[in-house]
Amino acid sequence: MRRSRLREILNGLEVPGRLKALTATRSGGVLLLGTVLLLVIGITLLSTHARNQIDNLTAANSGARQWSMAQAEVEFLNYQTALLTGISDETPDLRALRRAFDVFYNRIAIIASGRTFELLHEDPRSARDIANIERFIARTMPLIDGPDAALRAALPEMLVEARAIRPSVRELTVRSMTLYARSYDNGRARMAGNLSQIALLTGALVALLMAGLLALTALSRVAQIQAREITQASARITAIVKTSLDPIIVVGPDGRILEFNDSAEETFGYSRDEATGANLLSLLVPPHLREEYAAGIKRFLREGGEDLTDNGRIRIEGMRRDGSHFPVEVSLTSSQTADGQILITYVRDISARVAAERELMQARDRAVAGEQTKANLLAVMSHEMRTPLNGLLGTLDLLQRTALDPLQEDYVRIMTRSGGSLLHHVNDVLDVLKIDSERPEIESALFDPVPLIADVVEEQEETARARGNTIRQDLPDAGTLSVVGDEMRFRQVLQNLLSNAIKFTRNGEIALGTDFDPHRAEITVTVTDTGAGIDSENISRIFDDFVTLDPAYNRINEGTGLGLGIARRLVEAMNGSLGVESEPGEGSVFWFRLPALAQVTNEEVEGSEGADTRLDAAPTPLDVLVVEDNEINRFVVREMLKRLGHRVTEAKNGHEGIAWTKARRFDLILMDISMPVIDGVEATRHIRQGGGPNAHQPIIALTAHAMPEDFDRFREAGVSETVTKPIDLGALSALLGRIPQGGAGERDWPREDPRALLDLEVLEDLRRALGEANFTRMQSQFLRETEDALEAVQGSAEGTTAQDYASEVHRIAGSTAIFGARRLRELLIEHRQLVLDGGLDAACDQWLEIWAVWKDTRAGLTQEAPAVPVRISAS
Amino acid sequence: MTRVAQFLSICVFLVSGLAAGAEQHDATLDQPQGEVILTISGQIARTNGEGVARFDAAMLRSLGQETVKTSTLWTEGVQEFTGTPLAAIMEAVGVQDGKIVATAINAYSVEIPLTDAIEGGALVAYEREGEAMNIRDKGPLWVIYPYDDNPTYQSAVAYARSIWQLEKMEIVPD
Repeated sequence: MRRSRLREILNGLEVPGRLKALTATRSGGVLLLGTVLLLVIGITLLSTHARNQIDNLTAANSGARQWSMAQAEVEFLNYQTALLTGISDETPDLRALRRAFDVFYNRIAIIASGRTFELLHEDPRSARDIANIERFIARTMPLIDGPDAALRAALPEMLVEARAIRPSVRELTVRSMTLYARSYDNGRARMAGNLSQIALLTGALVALLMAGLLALTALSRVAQIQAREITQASARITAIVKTSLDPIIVVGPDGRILEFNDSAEETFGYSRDEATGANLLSLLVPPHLREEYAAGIKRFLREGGEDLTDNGRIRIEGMRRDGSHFPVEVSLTSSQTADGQILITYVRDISARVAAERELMQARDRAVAGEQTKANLLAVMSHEMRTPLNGLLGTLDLLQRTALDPLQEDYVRIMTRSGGSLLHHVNDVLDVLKIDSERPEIESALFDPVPLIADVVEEQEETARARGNTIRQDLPDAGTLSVVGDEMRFRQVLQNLLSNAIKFTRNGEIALGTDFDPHRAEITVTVTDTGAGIDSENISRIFDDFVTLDPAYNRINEGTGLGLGIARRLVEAMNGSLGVESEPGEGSVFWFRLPALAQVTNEEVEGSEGADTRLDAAPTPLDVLVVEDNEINRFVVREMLKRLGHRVTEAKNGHEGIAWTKARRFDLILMDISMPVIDGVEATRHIRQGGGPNAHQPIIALTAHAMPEDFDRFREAGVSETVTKPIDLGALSALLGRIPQGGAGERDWPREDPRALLDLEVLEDLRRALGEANFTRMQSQFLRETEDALEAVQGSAEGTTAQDYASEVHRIAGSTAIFGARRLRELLIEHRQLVLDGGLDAACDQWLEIWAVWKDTRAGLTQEAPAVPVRISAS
Repeated sequence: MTRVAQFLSICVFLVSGLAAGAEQHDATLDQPQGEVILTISGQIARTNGEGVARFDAAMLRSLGQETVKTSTLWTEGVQEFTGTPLAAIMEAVGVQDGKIVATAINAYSVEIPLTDAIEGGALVAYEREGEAMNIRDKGPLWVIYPYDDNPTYQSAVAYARSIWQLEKMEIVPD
């Protein structure tokens, strides 16, 4: 019973081949049947025709015709006799005469008109005779129908007429005999032909039926062979199913198990007899998943499997006989059988694999956590080191400017250099951390590398000279090249490479060169030394972290071994590449390659120079609030600000800072982040949201925290810009130079570079395409709608699916692209991915940032957009 | 002995049957007022002459009028014939058994069995397409069968019985 069931199912799977044979047989059968039918119809038609012919030959017609023709003469003679009698009688019986005439008239009318006598009409002689007789009747009729007296008088003449026509009547009768005899013979001949045709067709029919019989016999033999093959195939498949290592379960249209192989028995713990007939879901699926899986199966059967069997296999949960759950991977196939659609389920117990995966993931998580701990440790350390350094260097800076004797000045210079060196190391570590964290702060701008290289050379010339080295520069003219990247990072890379070259070269030459490839749009900067060189086994790890090749050198040369690692990270972050070629004893060539463009106009150069000029311009005195809990730091900042000519108000903590901001407006607030009670972030949030006189004033965060994710947190709170401590006079001056002069009034401090925030080219294109009026209208509509949409989608997070939520976010992101809201768009796309990966719960946290960026974007669009693109469009 | 008794009893039965028929109907028919167009003689129960029943057109019409639409061998297309059913005529003259020998003006003669004198059987037609028929047009009486409606009448025998210019019938024993 069970085996035959399986065979049936598997037979069902074999349908294509059989179907073909079946179809061929079927169409052949149809053809045969059609031909037989045609033959039968032909025979029937011919038979009917033959029958009609027989009827025609034998039936009334011929007899009646013969009789009619004979009767014509008889009736004519009767008429003639009546005429004779009439002439001889005294009182002639005119009624009898008239009757005889009428009878003859009737007869001739029948012969002349009916199709029965067609043959006579076709014969010219007979037709002539008939015409003669008809004319005779026509001549005689007026007399017959006239008065008795006239008739009586005309009798002799009528007799003459009758005698004259007699031969015609006679001839017609005699001739008809001949004609009909001939026609009868013709008929018989046709009959014979007809019968031959019938015989022929019948013969063909018999032959065809014989052929059909043969074909059927052959087909039946083929069918037998096929049946045997199918039986064998099904036996093979049965064996395969039985011995399959994976459980195979076949389910009928009602959801009940039809097949349950050995492996399934072993995996699920049910015997075949127990499983067969039971409901698949109730038996093998944990109760809480049954509904979901039932829906999935239904969908699979309806849609043909696209949805459920992603890549053929899906991972679900199964339940053993003892009630324990375990992960399984299944693939589904459905097949149409006589009883309906069946589902063939291949199951694989993946408990072991899942366990291995889990272990692997845990191991990875532990490793990541370890890395994180290390990074955190370094971050905290850097903070702890930089805070005192800040105090130390700041105070030294101030001390240097007091009246010192030469010895003291020497001490201070040494202290400053040592402090600077220490700071440099700390910064190296921090750089590595920053770059390794996901978003290194790399600007992408155009700058002229030539003055920069010269500048770096100048910085290090003295160090080089101290080691007996000369630095040769082989550079193109300034103003001919523009590198695409981060100017500061470029400088850092070059500094690292140059100082590395100087360190490992004594009494040698260091050459700096550039090579611009206009086709690849790349600049290659080379630093060539005549130093010790690097042997081939070390050259591959020279750019790794903490690599100090020679212990001997290590004693001579200070350094963390991070310099080249940082250079590598920075170049890679700027989409560049770097490398080294070296010959031990001869020297090394370090090179890095970055995207670059040939400069076409001088305007860009002048522009950047103009910006520099503005940066260095003498500041208008500003009202500055310094919120800082550390007394030394507060003192340093205050002294620096005063030296720059600004007015300073001090607050010792966040609380005090907030109080001050409520009291009056400041041009600038410098906010320390790490403070007890109320930290800088919290205080900033208060100031921004409090709506006081400083709600829109620039707030600069001062922090030793250098991790980029912290920057984001600060920006969310409303911090305009973040500056990493320690801050020196030059940096502070540059910072203050960027602040809108003399009280910015209502205008927002641009918290982000508008070029990062907005794609100004897109905006300008749009403006040009729409025209000014339309653009303004569209823009305000866009601002209104986007704000509404953002609010709506944030509000919907409670009662929607992650999928719907994400697609709405995606839609908004799409519309922001039109107005070049680059940063917002990036953030929304990131947000969407976050929700898709982590569900709606993950959405909540990012909204602060989204709103902050949105406010910046809105401000940028309404205030910056009209001004900036005009400059861009001129280029 | 038994056979003789049987024969006698049959004779008695037949005689009494005839007597009963005579009692049921008048012994005579009305006299024809117009020209006699059909004369029936032989074994008939009712007469209006010396052993004969004579009919003028009006008398025939009074026996019942029926219409048959059919094509014939001798006419073109379907024709409408009106006349008296042969069965009605046989009933009118009280014929129970025997057969009819019909004779035409042109001396054609044919036997018609009483089995044709039934409903849906032979019709003694006097009108074709609403027109009375005369001798020149196979009249005045023409025995017509519903050839189209009943295929058994599409036979040589029926065609032979379709006598035209009918003027006499004689009822003779089978």
